Amino acid sequence: MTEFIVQTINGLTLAGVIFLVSSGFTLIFGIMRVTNLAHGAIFLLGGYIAYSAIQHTNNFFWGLAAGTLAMGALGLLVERGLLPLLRHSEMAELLATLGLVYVIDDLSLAIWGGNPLNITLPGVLNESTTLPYHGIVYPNDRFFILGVSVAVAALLYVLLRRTRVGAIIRAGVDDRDMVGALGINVRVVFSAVFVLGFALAGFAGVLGVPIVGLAPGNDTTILLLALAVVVIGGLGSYEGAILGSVIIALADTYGTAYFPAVSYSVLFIPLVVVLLVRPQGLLGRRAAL
Amino acid sequence: MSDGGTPARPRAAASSPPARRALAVTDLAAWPLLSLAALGVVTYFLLSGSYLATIFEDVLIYAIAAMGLDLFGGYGGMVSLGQAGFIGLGAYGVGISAEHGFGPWACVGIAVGVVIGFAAATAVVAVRVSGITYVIITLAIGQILWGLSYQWTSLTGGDNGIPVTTAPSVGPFDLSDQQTLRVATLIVFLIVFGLLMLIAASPFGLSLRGMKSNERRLRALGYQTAHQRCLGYMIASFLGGIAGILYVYANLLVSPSTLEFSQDGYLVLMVVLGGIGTIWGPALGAIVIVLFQQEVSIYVARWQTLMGLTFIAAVAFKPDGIAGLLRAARGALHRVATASARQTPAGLAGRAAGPEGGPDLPPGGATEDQDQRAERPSAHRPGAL
Repeated sequence: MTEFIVQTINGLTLAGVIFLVSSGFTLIFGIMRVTNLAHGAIFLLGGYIAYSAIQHTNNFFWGLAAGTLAMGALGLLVERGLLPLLRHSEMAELLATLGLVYVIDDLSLAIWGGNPLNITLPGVLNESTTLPYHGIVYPNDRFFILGVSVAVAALLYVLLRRTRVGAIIRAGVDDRDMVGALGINVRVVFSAVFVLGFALAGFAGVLGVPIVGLAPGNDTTILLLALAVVVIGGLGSYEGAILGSVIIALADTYGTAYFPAVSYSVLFIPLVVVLLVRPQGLLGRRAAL
Repeated sequence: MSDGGTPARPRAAASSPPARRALAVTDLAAWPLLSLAALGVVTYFLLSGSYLATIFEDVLIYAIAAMGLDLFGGYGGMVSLGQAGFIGLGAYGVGISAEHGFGPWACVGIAVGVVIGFAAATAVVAVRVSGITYVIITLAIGQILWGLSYQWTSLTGGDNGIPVTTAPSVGPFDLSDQQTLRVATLIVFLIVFGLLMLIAASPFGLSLRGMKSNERRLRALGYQTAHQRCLGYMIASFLGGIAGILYVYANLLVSPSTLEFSQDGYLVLMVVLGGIGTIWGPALGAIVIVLFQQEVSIYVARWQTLMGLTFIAAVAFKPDGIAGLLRAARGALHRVATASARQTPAGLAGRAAGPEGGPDLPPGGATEDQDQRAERPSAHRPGAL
C-alpha cells in the first residue's frame, strides 16, 4: 500500500511535467494546426541550457528562466523564420519539425555530450519530507515540481477562460479565419501562442530534469508521452491535456513499477482504446481534427 | 484541338522530324537506358566486394521499406512514422525464432507471419484515422515495438540484441554467403520495385490517389475505402517486414536501435527527399540518406545537423524532392530540344515540307500528346506536400 501511494505521487508529479509539455503542444496544434515533432527536442534543449546557466550562476531559478526564455525565443524564430516557407501545408510543417529534431539533437550532443547530466534544486527543495501516513519519506523537489505545474495549469486556465486573450485563442482554435475577419491581428496571436508553447516546453524541460533526467533519447520519450496525451485528451483541447497527462503519467508510473518488461508499450493501450471508442479524444470536438 | 491557322505557335515547330526524334529520345529511350545504367552501377558495386558493397546493400534494403512507406504515404497520403518498427519486427521475428531452434526457412516464415499478423491487428486502429493523427498513431505503433525490443529482455536480449548467423539457402545458393545475399537482395528489390510500379498503376493504386485527394467522393462512387486503406497499410507494413528480414541477414544482428524513432524518421526523410508519390524516388532518397549516414559522417562530425538542414530546405523549397528535380530537368531538356529543332535548317525545312495546317493530321496529334506529357508534372503533382 505504501508502495502504491508513493507510485501514485510519482505519477502525479510526472503528470505535472507532461502536462506542461503537452499543453504547449496542444495549443500550437489547436490554433495553428502545426504538429511540432520537435517538442521533445525543445524540452531537452531547455534542460541543457538551464544546466549551463546554472553552472555559470549557481542559481536554479536563473537556469529556469534561461531555459524558458531561450526556448520562447526559438519558438519565435521558428514561427517567423521557418513556418512562412512551408505554404501552410500541415504535412510540410510536420516534416520540417522532424528535420529540426535531428538538428537540435545533434547540436545538443555536440555541446553537452552523451552522458546523463543532472540538476539539483536549491536548499530545502533538495531535502525530503516525512509524510504523516505510514512515515513515507518523499523528496521535496517532486512536491515543488507538482506544485509549480498545478500553479501554471491554473494560470493558463485563467488566461484561456477568463481573459480577452484567452477568448481570442479559443476562438482561433475553433475558426481562425473568422477571428481574422473580425479584425483581430491573428499574426500576433499566432506568434504569441507559438512562443508560449515553446516556452512551456523549455520550462518543463528544466523542471522535469529531477524526474526524467537530462540525456539524449529522453526527447523521444517525452514527445511520445505528449503525443499520447493530446490524442487521448483531444487535439487542441486544453482540459484534455490535463486529463490526458494524469492518465498517461499514472499508466507510465504503474507500468514501470509493476510490469517493467512491457511498461513503455502498455502506455499506448489507453491511446488505442480512445481511438477505437472516441477518435476525436476524450474532450476533443470532432471539428478540431 | 490546336488551331491549324496559327503556324507561329511553337507547337507547330515541334512537329518537325528531328525535334520529334529528340523528344522521343528524352521521353522513351532515356528512362530504360538510365535505369539499366543505374542497375549496372549498383550491381557492379554490390559484387565488387569493397565496403561500397555493404553500403549499396543497405541502400537496397532501406529502399524496399521506403518504397512501401511511399505507396501508402505518397499515393495514399498516409505518411507513417512507424515503418522502422516493421523492419524491426521482421528482423526480430527471424532472430527470436532462430534462437528457439527453428530452421532458417521456418524463421523466415515465422517472421513473415508475425509481420502480417501484427500489421492486421494494428490496421484496425491505424486505418480509422488519417492525416496528422495517422502519423501519430503509426509513431505510437513503432514505439510500442521499440519498447518491447528494449524492455522485454528475456525475449529480445534487450540492448544487446540478437545475433543471427544462419541464413536460408535457395537451391544451391547459400544466403549466409554475403555476396550471394547481396544478389538476392537486389533481386528482391527489383521484384518489389516492379510490383509497386504495377500496383501504383493499377485501379487500386489509382483509388489510393483518389482517397488522398477526396475520400468522401470516392466513397460516394461506391469504393470501400476502408478496405483500400487496410490493403495499403498491409502492403506497406509487409514490405517493411521484408526489408527487416533482409536486414538481419545482412547485419547478422538486430538490436533496439534498428527501430528507434530516428530510424522511423530516416525512412520518411528518404521518401520525401527522393520524391514522395513516385516509386523510384524513395530509392534515390535511400541512396542519399545512407550515404549521409555512412560516408558524410566520416568527414563531417555534425552530419545529422547537415542532414536535418538539407531535409528542412527540401521540404521548404523542393517538396518534390529529387524526383521533382529530375522532372524539371526533363522538362528543360524538352524545351531545349524543341527550341533547337526550331532553329536548325532541318527543322525549318521540315516545317516547310510539312503540311500547312490540318489539325487532325497524325503529326499534329502526336505533338499534342507529347506536349501534354511535358506539361503533366506541373498539372498533377503526386506528392503529399
